[in-house]
Amino acid sequence: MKKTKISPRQLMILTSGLSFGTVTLLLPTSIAELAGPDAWLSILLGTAIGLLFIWIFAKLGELNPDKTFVEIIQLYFGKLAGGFVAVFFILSSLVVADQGVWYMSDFVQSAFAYTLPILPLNVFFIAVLVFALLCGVETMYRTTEMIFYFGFSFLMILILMLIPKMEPENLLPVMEKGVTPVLKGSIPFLFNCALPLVFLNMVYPVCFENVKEAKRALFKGYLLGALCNLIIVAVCVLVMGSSLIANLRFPMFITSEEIDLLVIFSRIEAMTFFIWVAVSFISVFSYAYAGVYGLAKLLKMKDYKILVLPMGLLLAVYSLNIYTNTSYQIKWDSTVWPLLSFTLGFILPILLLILSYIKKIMEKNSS
Amino acid sequence: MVLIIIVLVLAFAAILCIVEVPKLLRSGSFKELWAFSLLLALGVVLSILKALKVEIGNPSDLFAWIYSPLEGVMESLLKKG
Repeated sequence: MKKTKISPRQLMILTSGLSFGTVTLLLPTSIAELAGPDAWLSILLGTAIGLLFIWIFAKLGELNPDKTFVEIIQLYFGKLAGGFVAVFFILSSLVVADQGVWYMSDFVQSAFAYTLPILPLNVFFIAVLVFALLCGVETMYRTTEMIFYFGFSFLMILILMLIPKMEPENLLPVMEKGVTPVLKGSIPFLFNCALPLVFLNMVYPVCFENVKEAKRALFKGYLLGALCNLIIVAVCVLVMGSSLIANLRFPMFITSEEIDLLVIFSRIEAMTFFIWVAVSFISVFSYAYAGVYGLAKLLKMKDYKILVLPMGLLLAVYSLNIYTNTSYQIKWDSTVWPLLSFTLGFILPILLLILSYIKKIMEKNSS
Repeated sequence: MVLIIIVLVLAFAAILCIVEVPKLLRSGSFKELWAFSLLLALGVVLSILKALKVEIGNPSDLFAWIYSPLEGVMESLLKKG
């Protein structure tokens, strides 16, 4: 397979995009529900804990350069068990990618166009995704850089426009019920923003010449993504109040509807929509790439691109009912996803890390 | 509508086969050919079943089933208060 090279800065932007991710619209709800007005403290705490997970991913890549996550799994778990674990990893990454598509169409349907049929919408989104996969990582990551400049500046403009609507007393009282709600509030952040970065291990050590720089970029990107999340949650709570946020489905979207500045700038929530679709495209691409590339690596194929179009067809079929309905989605996201991402993002990498340390020590002893 | 979807899917698969299969045969990469045709066949069959409104199952349910023994853990962890 041809070796692709991307720059550390692109990895930083990609990491921030993935950690800002598909859940941005929904995240403030789950955090505000658990932590109340202390949502911003939860995110600060979650960021600090999340650094540990990022360290695990980075160290795993550093100890096994020139290997993707699927190859590392196969190397340490053997052919049969490794195959099973790799299939589990690939299947879950494809399911998560498809869920991203479902989120997008659900959001468009409930916020903009109620009568729009879902299937063509999903097919368009998947067509772009397939095109991006066919173009390859390098092209997509350059695009990511461009999306970042637009998205980040739009986000900053939105927040500047919301400043007149902010009410600082919404953040009070600080830590009324002690530390427990803050701790609980950091759980959704960790499971949705820090642990999914394990899917980047399909790109991270392989595509870089200088792994040290890439490692630094991984940390920087994670911190940038966490900062964006912190800003979004803090702004939502500041403008709307935590008890209201906890009951909204798309709090960031509803909050940006509040903008009313100098008569001219009002109802610009479509900007939120733009940011969110662009960012969620980045994360859907990362998940789908991890799935398709992992499958190609598992079957020891020369090129993954032959699998992309059939996979697109499968994604399109399942994107209609990957979540049967909204209540199913809420239940799945709160009960199954944390366990799944804990398995993939913590238990699996830490096992692999221990095994690679053991291998390193054994190699040193034998030499 | 059902017929249109089925025809479109079959046309997509046919075009894909016409474009890709000769390339794969020429380069002699039979592993790729197997994976490609299996995935494509799966996709075509599932999309036709889906168009005919047959229940085709849901991968999310698979994960929910795998983690069903631990169902209570998250609920007690995320309980409010």
